[in-house]
Amino acid sequence: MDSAEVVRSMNTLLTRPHLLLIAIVGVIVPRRLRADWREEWETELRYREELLAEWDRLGWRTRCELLRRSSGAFWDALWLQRQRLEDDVVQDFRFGVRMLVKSPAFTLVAVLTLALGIGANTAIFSVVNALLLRPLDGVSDPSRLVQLGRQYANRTSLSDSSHPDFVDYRAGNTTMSGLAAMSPTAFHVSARGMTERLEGELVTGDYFTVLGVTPIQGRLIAPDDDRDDGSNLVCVISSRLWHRRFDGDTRIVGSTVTLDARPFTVIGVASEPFAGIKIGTPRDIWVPLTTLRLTNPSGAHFGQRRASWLEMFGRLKPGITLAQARTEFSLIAARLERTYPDTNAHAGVRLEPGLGRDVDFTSELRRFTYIPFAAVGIVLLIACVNVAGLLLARASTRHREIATRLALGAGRTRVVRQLLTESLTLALVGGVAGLVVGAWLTMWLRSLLPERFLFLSFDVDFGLDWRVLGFTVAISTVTGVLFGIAPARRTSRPDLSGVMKGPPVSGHRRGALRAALVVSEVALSVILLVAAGLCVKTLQNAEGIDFGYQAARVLTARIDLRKQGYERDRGRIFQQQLLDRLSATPGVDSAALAITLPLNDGRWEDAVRRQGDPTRFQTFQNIVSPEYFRVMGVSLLMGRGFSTRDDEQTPQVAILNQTLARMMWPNENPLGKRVTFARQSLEIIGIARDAKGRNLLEAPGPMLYRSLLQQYQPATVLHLRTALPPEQFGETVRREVSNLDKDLPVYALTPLQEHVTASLTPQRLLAHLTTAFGLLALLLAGIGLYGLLAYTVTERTAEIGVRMALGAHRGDVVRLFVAGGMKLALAGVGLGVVAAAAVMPLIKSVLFGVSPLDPLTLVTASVVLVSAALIACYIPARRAADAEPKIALRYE
Amino acid sequence: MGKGFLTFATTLILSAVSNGYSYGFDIVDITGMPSGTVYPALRRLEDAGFLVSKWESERAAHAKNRPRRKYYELTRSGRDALVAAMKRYRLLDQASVKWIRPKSSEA
Repeated sequence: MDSAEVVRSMNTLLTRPHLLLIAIVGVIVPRRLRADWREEWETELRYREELLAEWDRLGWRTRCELLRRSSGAFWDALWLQRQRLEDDVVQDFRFGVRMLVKSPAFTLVAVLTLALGIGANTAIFSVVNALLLRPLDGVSDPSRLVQLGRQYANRTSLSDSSHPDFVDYRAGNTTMSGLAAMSPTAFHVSARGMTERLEGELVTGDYFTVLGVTPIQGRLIAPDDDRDDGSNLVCVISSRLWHRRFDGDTRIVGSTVTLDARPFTVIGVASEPFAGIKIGTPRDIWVPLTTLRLTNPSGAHFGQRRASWLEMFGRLKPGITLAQARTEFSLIAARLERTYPDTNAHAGVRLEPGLGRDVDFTSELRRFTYIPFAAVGIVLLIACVNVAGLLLARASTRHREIATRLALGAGRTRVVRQLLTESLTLALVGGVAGLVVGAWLTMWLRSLLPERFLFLSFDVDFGLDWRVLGFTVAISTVTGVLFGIAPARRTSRPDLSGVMKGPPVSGHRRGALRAALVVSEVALSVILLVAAGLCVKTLQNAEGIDFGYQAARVLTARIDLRKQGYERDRGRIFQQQLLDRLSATPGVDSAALAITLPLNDGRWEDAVRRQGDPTRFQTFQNIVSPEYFRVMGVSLLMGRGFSTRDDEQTPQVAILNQTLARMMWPNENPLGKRVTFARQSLEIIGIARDAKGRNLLEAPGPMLYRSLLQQYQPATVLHLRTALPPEQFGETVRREVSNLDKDLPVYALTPLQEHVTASLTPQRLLAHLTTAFGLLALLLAGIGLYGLLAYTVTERTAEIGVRMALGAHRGDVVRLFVAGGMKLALAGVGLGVVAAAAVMPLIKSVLFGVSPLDPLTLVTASVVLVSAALIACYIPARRAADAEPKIALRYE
Repeated sequence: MGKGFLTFATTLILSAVSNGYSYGFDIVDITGMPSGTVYPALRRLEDAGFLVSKWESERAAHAKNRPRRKYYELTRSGRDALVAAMKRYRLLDQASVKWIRPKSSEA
């Protein structure tokens, strides 16, 4: 084509855009059909155009019409894509599968390696998916649901809203099809002669409508049910509860159940699997929010704008984006701030997509997931490096085949594509096996998790879903390209004449690439092993912390008298009788009540002042019965503990922990001094040793203890110190409570040690994960080293024969190969130690009591790797030395 | 494509071919369907063995002073399938879809 012709045809294309379109679309038509396809379309369009010209009607309108017609070519071309399947790809695939089947040993090792790497990633992703990605169950279109809350300018967390705010937002809103609010609560549910404590929700009238939940029996709570006077005592129960407690009896609708000692009428059953709006915390009972006015007037803050107690959520209208809703709600928030500066100053509004998870906690968790992902990423990288090494080794045996293809005129791209198809096939088979490994690893991970940890419940579905499958397919594909591309490029560039002539001359450069791969995987394993060492040390240090109390042999349980309708005097008598009975039980050392576990400190926070001094000190508080310090093993450093004489008739007293005492009276003896706390004057009678709160790795916080006998609390935690393992006393507690009140539920019956263990979940998880994946990396690196040496031995059999024929001893041969392998291993270890030293400071925030550059850990990791490398080198070296010189020589 | 089942649109296209509307745009014109529907349908019918396509000879095209065309023709099984489908889509049969043009000499 000369230049004039080019210009001419360019001109044609520009004046006839329909032909240009055909030319463009033609590119995606399979090559085999392309010429034919283009001719057919062009012919028709040209002929049509000529006709139009003949009729003098070739205006812009008819040109557009032609263009519109030609656009059908696109759909035509798309349909023809099917034909491709019969073309190269399928051929390549078939050939690839044949090649894999032909060398089963290679395939098996490669697939297993990949399965481990991909499986580890799938497992971590499954956990992340279960904890962070899966949407709320049982509601319609969860992606349109939005959580709302107050956002104070000086805080990072999302706060609850007040009822008046909710009403104003609901009235002013135009971007959501509905706005609802709820407050989680527990109920003592009595029905059919049994009382148990169940989680439930107090909900506004449009709660179910906004969620899109349907009833399977009766009806759900509607706006009419949420009457202002709170007189409408109705409830909806979950399908789960209906089957468990009521055997799926259809007469449930209209029947009465007792909630917190009041009769409620069941109006309906919500359909499976809906269980409230908190993933991992299934809830079984829903009652109208306004009933709180009747059941718990002190907790019903309907008119108060200051009280934040409602969780709000809404559903975006179709076509409305989250950003639009955010804009609208900020405007409403700004208006509220202007109208009610007292209560709403600095209280903005925050909208977060999705429902079912605590937004602050999930963002925290998201930050934590990068370490496990980095660990499994390294494992996968090592697996890739290993398989790439195997492919390179195999490439030498396929040299002749590839050279023949190239000599016969196959393009290099074509050969690379063939080899890549093979590695992708391998990766996908590895991916399928990886799913199995992943499912198994997920089960293992799950067994490491406690039932719940702080606000996070692990009682969630960890199973496979399309997200996990998609993830696995995606990483398998990436893996396939990753380990396939280097060998494919290398293999497709052989020295044609040389290869065709005879057996491959030992490819020095290929050997260098393989050696580099082995060095890098050894280095990567060192990094993981160092991380494992540091995390294990962190866990050991954390477990060895002195909490300030003795957690072993303490059983805890919760009892809530208010929900059972106990008033104060009856409650006091019950509490005293229970403690007396339990203390008298054989095997029980002592028994006490407190309002909170030591690990739950955050919920009871208030300000304390020195009497006559306005300076406020923020402190945690616990209200405890006299034996508490003995049960917990918290020693009193000064003064005395609470006694049975510190009751309502005697002056109010308090005990401070060391930290609070130091804060309030840095240089004085606080005994006998007075403080003002919760508008009461208290005398300090003792100083208790510091005890750790929720975060065991942080310094203990300030704590103020008060006597339960002076400050009655109906909801308490029972603490029991036992002489035998505490698990054995669960029945005793239930029996003694039931002897006093057969309808009173005992819940959260757990040894204190389990709470402590649960609070170290992140550390334990990291220690286990990094160790498991570090060992996996070690194994894979060992296999890589072994593979390389075994291959070298085969390649150099002839040379060994010559050496031995010339008088070399077996020991010389072994030394030769071991030295060769160890050179690589040592290079890898050196590189790995340097890299680890560079990377480990990044995980400093999760370490406790150990430096990220801990020399002992670095040395241990190196020694472990060097020993593993020695074994990996010795086996093939030994085999080389065992060769008979005669046979070895014949190898040539 | 299952040999036993033809959609209404496909049947209409097949029927157009049997009436002598034998190349792509001709069929597009007479059926009023978009080219993006007609062409893939022709490919499917050809794959199913209901149609065969052939290029007209250079000479014939030259004589009419236009680029050569690809013509489609019904096969025997295509004819059978059309008869069967016409029974199902009685509208096609009854509603007197009288194809305007008699079988052209070009076909």
